Amino acid sequence: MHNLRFRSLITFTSLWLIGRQRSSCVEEGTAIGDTKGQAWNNDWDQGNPMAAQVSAGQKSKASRHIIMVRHGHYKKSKATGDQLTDLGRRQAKLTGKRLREWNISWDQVVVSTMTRAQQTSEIILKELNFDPRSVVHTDELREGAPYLADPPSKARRQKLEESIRRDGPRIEAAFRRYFYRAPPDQERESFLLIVCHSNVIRYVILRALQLPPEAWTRLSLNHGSITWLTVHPTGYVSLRFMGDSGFMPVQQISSRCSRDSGLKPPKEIQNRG
Amino acid sequence: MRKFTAFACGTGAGLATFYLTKLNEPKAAVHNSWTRSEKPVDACALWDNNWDLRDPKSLVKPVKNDLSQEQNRYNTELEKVVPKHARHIILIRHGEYLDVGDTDETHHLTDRGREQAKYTGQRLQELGIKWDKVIASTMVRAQETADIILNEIDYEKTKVKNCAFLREGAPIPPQPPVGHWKPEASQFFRDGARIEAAFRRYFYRAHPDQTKDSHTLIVGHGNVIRYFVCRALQFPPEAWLRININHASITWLTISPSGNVSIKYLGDTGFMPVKHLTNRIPRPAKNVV
Repeated sequence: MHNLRFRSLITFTSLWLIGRQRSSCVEEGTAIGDTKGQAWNNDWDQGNPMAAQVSAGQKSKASRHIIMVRHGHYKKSKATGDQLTDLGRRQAKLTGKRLREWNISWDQVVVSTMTRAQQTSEIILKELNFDPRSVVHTDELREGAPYLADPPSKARRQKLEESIRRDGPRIEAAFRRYFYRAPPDQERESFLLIVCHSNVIRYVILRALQLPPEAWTRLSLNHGSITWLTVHPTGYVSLRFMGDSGFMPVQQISSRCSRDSGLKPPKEIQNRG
Repeated sequence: MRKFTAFACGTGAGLATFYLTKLNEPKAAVHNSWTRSEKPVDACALWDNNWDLRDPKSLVKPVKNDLSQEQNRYNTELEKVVPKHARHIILIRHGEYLDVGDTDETHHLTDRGREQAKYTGQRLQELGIKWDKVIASTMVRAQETADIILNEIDYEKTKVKNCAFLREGAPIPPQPPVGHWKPEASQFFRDGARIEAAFRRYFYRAHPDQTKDSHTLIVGHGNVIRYFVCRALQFPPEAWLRININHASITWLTISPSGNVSIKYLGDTGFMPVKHLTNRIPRPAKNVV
């Protein structure tokens, strides 16, 4: 009996010591000043082939600017499919003009394959100096439910989980494809324009800034608004502005789609646009 | 065989004791930051609905028993404290300025800064909002910006509140730390609590007697606005430096009656010509805030 007690004492003490050791490691690793949150990870793009050399220790020299545009106002309709409205077209035109004002030479333009994004990008590209034939069209950027939101939405949990199961990994894949540090042979800043959807943009902002992704519903974006993220050579990411739509007259600002039927859809679905 | 059983029992008992003690320990200390240090934060950082201590359920005595009388009492009291309307908080950063001299008194807006403020004022006027409150930081650059904005919008100048809590400062050591900006720990110690106090002063869900959506305009500074955004959206506040906002930009936060907070846009400056956009003092950076 004595033997038994002794053994349990040893097991207990050793496990307790190990546990203590581990928790103190965590604190040393993250704390700067008073902060005990998650430390910034500079090497977040590991595994992206574009950043492989940088990850392996070579220096990245230039910044990558990623400018994301939400599609314009559109109407949901079973008969004709979801199409941009006149308002949406005007918004897209204004967005295009604003982007032209920046006088940027675009390195790449990527567009979601959904009709509203396609139509928006067509209008925008008329304003920009970029060959429409070199635009990349991708299914990865299509609208969807990226992550279980917190604070929780009122939509049915099961249905939400199903959509997240379907869309979540795909949207995460889009993030991983387009966000990485510039490869070492990139000499000057590069500019990537992405035309896609609100949920995707909101999720990607949080992922890029290493903020909790479940917070995506706390952000909202107007139609045709511009969001500007910069990936610095060090691996630091900063947000320059989010949902910039000040270039539109106030009456033309919208953030929700309209529908054919007079019935008002529940809030959660309205949000998805 | 006996030896083996003894060994097994001993180890088992040891493991059990270990986990039992672990369960009893106060929650492993994962704190979001010092600002919330009184509350341990869950690893997955769930939304805290009682962030302003005004969650109706927390303001009413809980139900004591199953009697319908008691239920009714609870429901009526709850009804009385539930907010019905939203609060919109619109944050404006001051325009471009130059830090000539050692004190704030000589840090005036540049000509461009004045123009930026004018554009912002015009945009705010265009938004057609009836302002319930306008608050400006007491620093010269914010005061000058507020003056120019007030020329454009419909609000009586004498009613503007000046608030020293909103002055620029170092809110919390940023994560990741950034090379060129390294204030002393004492600066964070001094400013951090004060800026948190400013947050608590202006960010709360509507009072139950508020009869319509309200709009509060705050003219302040880059660091303070970025910290407010992180705190209001319940992001780790040490992330504030990952956000950059332009001079005289508009940031729109909404606190809904449920206590949820959302952001409409951050650092909106689309109403200014691109050549007017700036976000720092027009000279090589110096260690100032």
